[in-house]
Amino acid sequence: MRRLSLPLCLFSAALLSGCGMLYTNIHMPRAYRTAAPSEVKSSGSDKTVEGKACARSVLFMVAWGDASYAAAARDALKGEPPNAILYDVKSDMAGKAYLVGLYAQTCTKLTGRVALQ
Amino acid sequence: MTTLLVLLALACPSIAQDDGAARRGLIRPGGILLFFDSVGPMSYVAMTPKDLPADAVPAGEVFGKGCQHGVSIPLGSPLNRSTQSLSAAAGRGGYEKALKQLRERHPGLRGIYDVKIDEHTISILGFYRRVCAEITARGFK
Repeated sequence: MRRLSLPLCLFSAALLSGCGMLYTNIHMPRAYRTAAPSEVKSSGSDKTVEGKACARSVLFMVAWGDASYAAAARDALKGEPPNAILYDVKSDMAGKAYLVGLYAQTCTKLTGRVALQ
Repeated sequence: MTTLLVLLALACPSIAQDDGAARRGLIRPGGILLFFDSVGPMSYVAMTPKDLPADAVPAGEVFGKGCQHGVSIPLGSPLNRSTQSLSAAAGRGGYEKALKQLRERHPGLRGIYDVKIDEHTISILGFYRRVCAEITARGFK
């Protein structure tokens, strides 16, 4: 039990402080009400795009990054005209962790089609 | 324990959802709570393009946020698991404040659609924690 006390402490501290015990500055997704095909000027030739945004943590000490919906949508729409809008959007969360989580990465992935307003 | 740590590393961020269902977003101060006066986001069914009025004029991307702040002061060594802490939290970090700020930043706005809501967390040494609800959307006039 004594051997487990430090990992337990790390676990508790990391959980309470939001990943990085020393410093955390992360954006994470909360909600995104996307448009359905019937709600925009969609056509069968609309292209499908993907966007990705990631946050990372190292040694349970420092966490940083922008894995927000806003960043993922910006990534998906880069190179598109300003009036482009995503619809039929699927969002996934991808996680990677190495060495018992000493390095971890969480990414928000958006896949959707692009219509012009 | 290994599995637990890996799960922690993957599950640290909040789980996203997009159905507008209620999900509490109050800051969690922990420890011995001395003071708490905070508002967090719960649910918001936002507009989509079909909800726009016919005479709507697009106003581009708009942004607003509302934040909650928390402080926690340990009463002993942070590595001692029996150590307690004194904590307090306050702030207006709900959708109401975020939307109010958004309207102040973008006067004349009639509404927003294509709404993305994110959570921005800053934590320094576990003593100070700020959690903001951020609204990024398209506005119309």
